[in-house]
Amino acid sequence: MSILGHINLEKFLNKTKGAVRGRLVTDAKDRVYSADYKWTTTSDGYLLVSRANDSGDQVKINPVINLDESLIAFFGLYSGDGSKGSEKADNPKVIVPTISFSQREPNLVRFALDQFRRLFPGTIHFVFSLGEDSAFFMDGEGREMLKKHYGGKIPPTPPLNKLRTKLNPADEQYLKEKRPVQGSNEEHLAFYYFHKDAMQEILTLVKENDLKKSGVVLRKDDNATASLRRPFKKGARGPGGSSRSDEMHVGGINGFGELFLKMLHEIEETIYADSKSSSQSLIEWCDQPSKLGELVDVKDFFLKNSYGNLAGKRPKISEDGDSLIGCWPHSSEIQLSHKISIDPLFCYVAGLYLAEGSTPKSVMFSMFSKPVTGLSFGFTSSENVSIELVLRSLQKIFRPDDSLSSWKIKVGSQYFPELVVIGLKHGVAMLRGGESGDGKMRTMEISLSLKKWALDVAPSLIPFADKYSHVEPTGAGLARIDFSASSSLCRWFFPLLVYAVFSNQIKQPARQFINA
Amino acid sequence: MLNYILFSEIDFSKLKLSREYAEWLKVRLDESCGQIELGSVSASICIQGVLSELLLFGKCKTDWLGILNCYLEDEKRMPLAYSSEYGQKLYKFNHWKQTTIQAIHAHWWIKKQSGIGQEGLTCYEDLVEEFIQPNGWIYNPEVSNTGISTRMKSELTMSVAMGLEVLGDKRLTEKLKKSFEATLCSMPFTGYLGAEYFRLRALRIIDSMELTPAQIKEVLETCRAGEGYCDFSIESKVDDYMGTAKRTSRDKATHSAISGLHAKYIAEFLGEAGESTILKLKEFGLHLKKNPFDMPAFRMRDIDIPFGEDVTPFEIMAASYLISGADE
Repeated sequence: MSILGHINLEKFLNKTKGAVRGRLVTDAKDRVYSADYKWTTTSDGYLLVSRANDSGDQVKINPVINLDESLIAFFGLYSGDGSKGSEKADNPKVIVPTISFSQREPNLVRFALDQFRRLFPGTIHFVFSLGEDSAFFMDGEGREMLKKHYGGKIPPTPPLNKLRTKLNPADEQYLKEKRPVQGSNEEHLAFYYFHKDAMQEILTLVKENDLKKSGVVLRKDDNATASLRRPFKKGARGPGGSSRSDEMHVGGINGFGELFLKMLHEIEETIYADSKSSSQSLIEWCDQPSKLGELVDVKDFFLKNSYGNLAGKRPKISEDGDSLIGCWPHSSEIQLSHKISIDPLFCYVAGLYLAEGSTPKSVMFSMFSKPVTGLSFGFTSSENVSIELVLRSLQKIFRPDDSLSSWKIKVGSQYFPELVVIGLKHGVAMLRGGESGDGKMRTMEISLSLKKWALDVAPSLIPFADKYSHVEPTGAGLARIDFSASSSLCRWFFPLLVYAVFSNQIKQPARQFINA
Repeated sequence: MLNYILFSEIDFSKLKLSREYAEWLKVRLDESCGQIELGSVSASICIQGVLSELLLFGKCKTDWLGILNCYLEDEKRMPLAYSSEYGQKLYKFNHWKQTTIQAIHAHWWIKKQSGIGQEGLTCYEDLVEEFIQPNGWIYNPEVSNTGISTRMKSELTMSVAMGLEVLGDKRLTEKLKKSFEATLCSMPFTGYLGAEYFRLRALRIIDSMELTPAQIKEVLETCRAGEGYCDFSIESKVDDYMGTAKRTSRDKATHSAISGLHAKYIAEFLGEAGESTILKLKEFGLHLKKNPFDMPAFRMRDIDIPFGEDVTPFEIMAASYLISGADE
């Protein structure tokens, strides 16, 4: 573990007199956050930070926090999977940050938990919640669980008017909606209310068991809960369908969200700009970020390090002038750099990719202990900074051509009407691909019309402009950019990513990762 | 009268372009011709090219028929939407070779305008007939096999309107007419201007306008946006599959001259009930006269980067018509 920089909390608070101001551009939303803090120093040298208006908690924290590889990776992970807060009801341009983290993979849950406890050494607690669409319990695995819960027979659902004499506005809205599923909205709503307690008990138990398997020990104030949505509202497309989400809410730090977001943003900004300190000195690196970090000899790493051993196998590596040529068994040759520095950029991207990358999380950990197939690299974002950071980290070790093989634009159904109009402007209809319509957009005019938008949003893709393949109409969400890289780089890049995040705690990845 | 199905209102033989629109169209036409020299062309570019030349010069100066034959037919002489070279604009896009209903219609329309006789157009009628699906809609499943519930409504109605135009009275048997009536009626009111415009257009071709959805007037109210009309209303955005409401607080509808013409067509069908729309469109025309290129592209929420193109040749043509209407 090396100390690569510091979060100078006390210095920052003194300088700004406790004022925290910031701008957040995520999901194509431009919002600001602001809060004022006061602080005192305890006899054992910690700061007790609270909101100037006394709302929220008093948070115990170090005046100077050391930034090592794990903590930098944690901020990358939080950037991908963490909550940025919710908009103020009366002013959507202002965000009120809350600190919670959405992840299910046991190694990542445990890692995030450790980092939160390290960052906030005072009395924090966690609420682990499992969210699910109640349609999950209507068929298949969920129905079986419900049956077991009732002792072998699910009691028949009474009619809605017997269960709810008065409907709330959300119920009324639900009943008005139209869905291409069997049964009426009344029946579905009745199912939800009649089995709600049972479904919640089942899911809470599922969550508790998952946490046990992850090796997460719940402390006195920690607990597991479950939340259910009305059938088909959360994303299940049919009875028995799942739309599970796993959240980790951090308690005991209410009101600290703005300061936490500020840390996250200034870490990201300084890494992006490769600058030694942030504008208000909250973040100070030991040197220019690109000059920091362990310099890993790539050949040595893959021939000797425990992280370079995948399921008992190691690659062949030969020298080729200024670069290396590497080849894993049953894979293709790829050109590699001799050295790679595990600098703040690489650590941050390691966390970010573990959160946001398209590779199944379980594979990233199980690849050390058992053979895996079908490895692929994909990254989706609506922000240039994230895309550029990932591309830069790839190019630290691979040739540009291997770092990006193609890119596309994914557009959620909310923006299909806009796509239709773009087609009409060219006199063509929007033709979708695939049976459910989420394949490659067939109408080239629409795909080509959006290429300029993507390159303006993500100028880091300009060198790869000719690798743009298509628009992909997809389930939900705003328009975002998705790129993939050569699959032959996965067995080189992923071990290094996992090494950057976990090598401080895990020395034998083949044995020590959970479920590995 | 020389018109094109995207906006049946316009008589291209009479439409006059303003100086700035003429200059803009000329530049775009030159760019397209430069690309065509390289073999990069689409059926939609050909249609825009023909209409642009008719408006700019009163006649076609480019050998559009030759371009269709050279670049936009496959080895079996099937009409294509894109040339092979145009297909290269997208990386490894293996689906460029498409015989879509729009491509068939474009080939048919250009050949018809060029004076090619009935015997030269029969092949397009045959193709349209071949692509009438058992569900009554017209599409080529080899290009897009997407199920009906997730196909775009405007695609379905546009393809039927185009298909019916190609088929013409001679091929439109009573049995076919009844089938199209049933198909067009079976789709609930969509709330989209374009989809409803093409449905109405299709119903007019088969002389069944009485089957127009009763709610059609709503589309003229909900789709008002900016200075004119947008194809959709932000408030009615719903999930593609589940029909549930979407969060739209940061989405903005933008006006389009093409949508304005779709609104006009529907308003004229409604007669008295559409009068306020006609007045609104006169105002829109005046606005465009003062601000000729105010045809904004969408924005993705707060990000001020155009999401798709703003001005296109078709928008220019529609705007010219609205401006001429405002002057009357």
